[in-house]
Amino acid sequence: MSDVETERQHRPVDPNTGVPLSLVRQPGYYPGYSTLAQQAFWDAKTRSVILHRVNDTPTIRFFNVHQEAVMKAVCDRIIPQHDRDPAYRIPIVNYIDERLYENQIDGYRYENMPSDRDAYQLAVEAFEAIAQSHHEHSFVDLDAHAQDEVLKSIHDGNAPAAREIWERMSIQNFWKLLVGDCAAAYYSHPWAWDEIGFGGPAYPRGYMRVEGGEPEPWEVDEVRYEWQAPPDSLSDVYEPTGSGSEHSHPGQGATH
Amino acid sequence: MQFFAERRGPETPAIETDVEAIYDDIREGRFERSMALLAGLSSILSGLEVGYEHYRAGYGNPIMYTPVLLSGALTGVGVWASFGSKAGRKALRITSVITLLDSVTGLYFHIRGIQRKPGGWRIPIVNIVMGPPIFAPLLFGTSAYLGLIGSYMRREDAPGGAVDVSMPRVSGLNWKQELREGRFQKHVAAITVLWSFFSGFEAWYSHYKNNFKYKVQWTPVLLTPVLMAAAAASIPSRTIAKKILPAVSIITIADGSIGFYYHARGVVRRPGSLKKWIYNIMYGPPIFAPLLFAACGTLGLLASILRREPK
Repeated sequence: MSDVETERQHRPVDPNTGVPLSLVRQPGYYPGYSTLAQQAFWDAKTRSVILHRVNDTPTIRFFNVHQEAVMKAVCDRIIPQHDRDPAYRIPIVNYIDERLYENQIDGYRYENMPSDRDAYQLAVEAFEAIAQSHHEHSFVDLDAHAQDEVLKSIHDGNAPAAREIWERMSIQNFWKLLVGDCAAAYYSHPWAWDEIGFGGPAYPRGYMRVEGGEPEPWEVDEVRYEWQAPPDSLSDVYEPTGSGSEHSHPGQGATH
Repeated sequence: MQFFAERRGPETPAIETDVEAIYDDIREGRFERSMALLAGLSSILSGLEVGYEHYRAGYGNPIMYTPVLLSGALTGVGVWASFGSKAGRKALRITSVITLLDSVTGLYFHIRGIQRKPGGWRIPIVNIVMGPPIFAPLLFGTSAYLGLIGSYMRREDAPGGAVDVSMPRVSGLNWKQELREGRFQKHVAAITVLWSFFSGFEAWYSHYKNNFKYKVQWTPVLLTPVLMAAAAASIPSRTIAKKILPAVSIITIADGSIGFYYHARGVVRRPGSLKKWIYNIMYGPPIFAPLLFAACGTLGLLASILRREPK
């Protein structure tokens, strides 16, 4: 899976030429923008927290080797980073692992959910069970399209296997947990802030151009470019939410 | 205008003689009453400005009431003095001195306020932009300065001409005498340099805050060094004081007036417009700030009309 040619297929493509976009250190619409370049304007504690986040990737301590491999493959499909230079990919699994190892929890739990630790361990079993039942391979060895299908079946709340696991754990709530953890890990990283043009810590400097949408002096102008999801991905398939699906987006009917 | 009309000759058209009479009066330091009135009226504007700015800051320190009270007092004594009252003149002088002291104190508190913002002087630009307006207290002192100068002048109907005969001429430097005779051009020119710097600096960072969204926001920033240069050059050069300084000053007054229009328009264009006028004046562009810039032009114009200090 890791060979260069397969990686290339996973990148977003230019919609006009169909050619995969080139690898970049910093994807997104804000070329040259760097939150870390603003670190002189943070207070010492903030700076140490964020530099630690960038420089000291936590080692895997909670997942075993197999679970780690499955989770890496899963997170690669939830938030694909194949357009990023490999040295600038955000280690999502390591942050989820750190949270589980240190048992940093929300402080509440749905009654139809086990603890976060148990949820991930059960889920890895479930990913594998679905992959084996449909494709007779480990999730890790499936191609991207098949992996997306497995994940989409969970997203849709009708996973074709591992029924006993989903009886112990709400499939919708697990999906929310997984996507929430991936997003939290990815978007707490300064490289993701650069990608989306987020200013990072606002203390103590703060913002001064608070009206009229004017950029701060240290921000850069947005430079948009066209792109499409890679052909093997299911993420570009349009699907109206709300009335169409009974389970997957509770409370979001007709809001999109 | 009655005090001018008394000296008008019978043949000359009224308006022309009035203008000449005013001009002569200013040249010769005989405009105490109009100066007192000008100080009193301009104090209304700076009082309103400081009133809502400090209101916005919640009057967190009781000393923030002092400029509001003093500007009201200055208006009162300015109007009083403009009626020609001797006691009013004395009160104007005292109030002006207190107000000037208050404005220097305000400068101290505003500098301290910037320093106390998170990051302090380590983040100078943002904290100057977002903190208390650094030079605003000095600009607030403009009307007090006018009042103080005015309190040393002769009344418009004072006897005598270019030279004040009521005071024995002291050789050497008697600044009171020179003020009385309108011989303080260099002094006002120097004040114009300082004040236009303060006002231009305020304009620069406030417009920078707004990212110079409108090109016209550059005009006070570009005009400031021109006015400063013209006023500074007026100190050694009589020609510049008489020919260049008035032109630049009039452009500055015009720019300040245009700015006042744009700031008022900016307030009206905010959501809620005039229905939420208090809120929109407080959070919109500072409505009277361009007039303070125009006041620097007025100072320059005053300097150009006055006579030069004797050698």
